[in-house]
Amino acid sequence: MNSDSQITISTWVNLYGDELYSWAFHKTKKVEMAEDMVQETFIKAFNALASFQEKSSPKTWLFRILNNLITDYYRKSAKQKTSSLDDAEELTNGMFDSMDNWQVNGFEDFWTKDENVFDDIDFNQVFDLCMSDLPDNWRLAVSAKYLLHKETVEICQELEITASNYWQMVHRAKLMLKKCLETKWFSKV
Amino acid sequence: MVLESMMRRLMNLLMLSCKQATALIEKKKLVPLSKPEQLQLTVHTKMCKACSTYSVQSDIMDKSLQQFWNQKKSEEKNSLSESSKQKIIDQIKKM
Repeated sequence: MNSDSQITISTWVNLYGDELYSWAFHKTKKVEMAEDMVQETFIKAFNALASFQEKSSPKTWLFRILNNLITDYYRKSAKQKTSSLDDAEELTNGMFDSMDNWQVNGFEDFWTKDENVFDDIDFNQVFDLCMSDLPDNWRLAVSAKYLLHKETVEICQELEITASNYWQMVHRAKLMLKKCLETKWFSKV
Repeated sequence: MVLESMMRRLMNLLMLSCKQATALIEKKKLVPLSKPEQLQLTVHTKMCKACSTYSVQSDIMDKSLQQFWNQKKSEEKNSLSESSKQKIIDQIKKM
């Protein structure tokens, strides 16, 4: 009964699917997430087709729907497990002493020993691993700058978090990254 | 060693712990510090080798993060597979 609408949407899937997917992947870096978002975009478009009325181009309209989904996704990830800020004590356990000062572990000098470490495939694999160990919202916090290409104020607006929440998450994430890199890399080279 | 730990205790009473100092190091990269914060951080990092080392490590992590995302970007797939497109079309047809 909706065959006209179905044909319209099917045509759009073929016309704009790639561009929408490419944008969703660029913003999420997750294949599955990007595919789901594109599917969701077309479902929403199908359900709202009556309201479209060609006021804008279909492409603009579809991108608007997709961008809303991306924003929701960012907000959800940023809010996820906000309690994990409290777990930070446990995660960074052993790095600081009872006075919250550094527990020196002897790996410090290894960090600057190899200037070409960034070209090392093994190091990059370890870094990938350490990134995936981070809780989602912390990973998003340290990545926001590189994913959104925006300044702090705009990042906080986009993620609906306060500036202090933002830098505190970054602080915790980097302590955890440091710990992971020292355990999995700097203690081994 | 003993002197260093006594020094740290004193620093703690007067100003920041290393944990607080490293938090300010990260904060500074994202938002401007207040005058007292700037002063506390400067004094702390001047006296604490571990925290000035952390500052270098933090820069290394930033560089790694930048590279990590550049790498991910270059791996980006630019198109949706035909089967995924078909899946969406089938889904729409069922509605």
